[in-house]
Amino acid sequence: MTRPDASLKNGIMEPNTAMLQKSAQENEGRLDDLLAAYRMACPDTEPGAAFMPAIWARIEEREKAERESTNWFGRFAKTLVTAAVAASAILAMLLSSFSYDVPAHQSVEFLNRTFVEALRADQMAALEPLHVDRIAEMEQ
Amino acid sequence: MLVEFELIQRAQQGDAVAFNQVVTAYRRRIMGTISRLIGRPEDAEDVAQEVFIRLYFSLQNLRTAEVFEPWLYRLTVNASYDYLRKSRRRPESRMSDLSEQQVMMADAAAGSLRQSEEGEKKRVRDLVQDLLSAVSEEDRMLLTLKEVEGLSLKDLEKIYHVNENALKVRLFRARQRVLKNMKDVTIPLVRSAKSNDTP
Repeated sequence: MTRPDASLKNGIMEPNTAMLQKSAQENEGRLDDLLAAYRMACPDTEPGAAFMPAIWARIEEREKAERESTNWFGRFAKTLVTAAVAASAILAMLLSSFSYDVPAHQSVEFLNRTFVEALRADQMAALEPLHVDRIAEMEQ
Repeated sequence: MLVEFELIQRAQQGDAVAFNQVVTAYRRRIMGTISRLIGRPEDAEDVAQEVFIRLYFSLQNLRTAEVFEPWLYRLTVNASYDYLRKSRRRPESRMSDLSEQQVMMADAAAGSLRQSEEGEKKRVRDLVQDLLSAVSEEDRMLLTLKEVEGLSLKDLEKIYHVNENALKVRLFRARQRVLKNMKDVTIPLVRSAKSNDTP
């Protein structure tokens, strides 16, 4: 006697496609049944009497924590600004108390000159005309 | 919708009484969903409180009434995710960690429970939890929302912001992964659980 959903190969009963499909469908059905049973086994439950007060307590707790962190940040920012202003004032006072001679090449007059003027001033000696008496001096 | 949008608008404006009414209308449903999503009814109340706290702080962002329920479900799913992630890090007490006496007591308790209807329900819960804990949190949530909570694909679209076809594919894959782990499940257990629910 042969079963319609199984085949004999090398003396071992092997499941064929129809058998596998049937098994898969059965499993699908079992999963659906199981999930439906799970839905029944976990009904909606009414929370306890402390549910709402606990929510409000937790909301207030978070709001308080938020306020405190905002306050802490505000205080920190205020301290930082005060420290920066104080440092700037001290630095300004220190700079104004020091007086030093400005080198010629850093003077305002020098810096305001044009490039050509500066070059001319620098090269003036080299551009002076040669005198005969000087050449005679050099030859001696 | 279990509440009028006007009530939500009043809650948005900081009306504590209106917010209380919104919570009262949805708390039972949300707690039920959470207990099925996380599989621990004893912790559902705590997670549900977290959902409503998040609702309170983000209520200003809600624009239209139609999206209120999907949005609340989204908050529920996210809070449940967070709970599951935390509880994964938390060590659980297993039978192997218990003393001999504790194991005997647990067996005795389980034995007496099995006699009752509640015991059968607990077995179904444990069984489904074992199956769902073997797959990813995403698969678990999606399957529970669709197959246990009975949400439609349209509802899921609004919650996940994913189109229907993509959801179908994800659901199919999630089912296949759960089915893979179903080899050891005994049919009589499911039938007995179902027979307990039918009069």
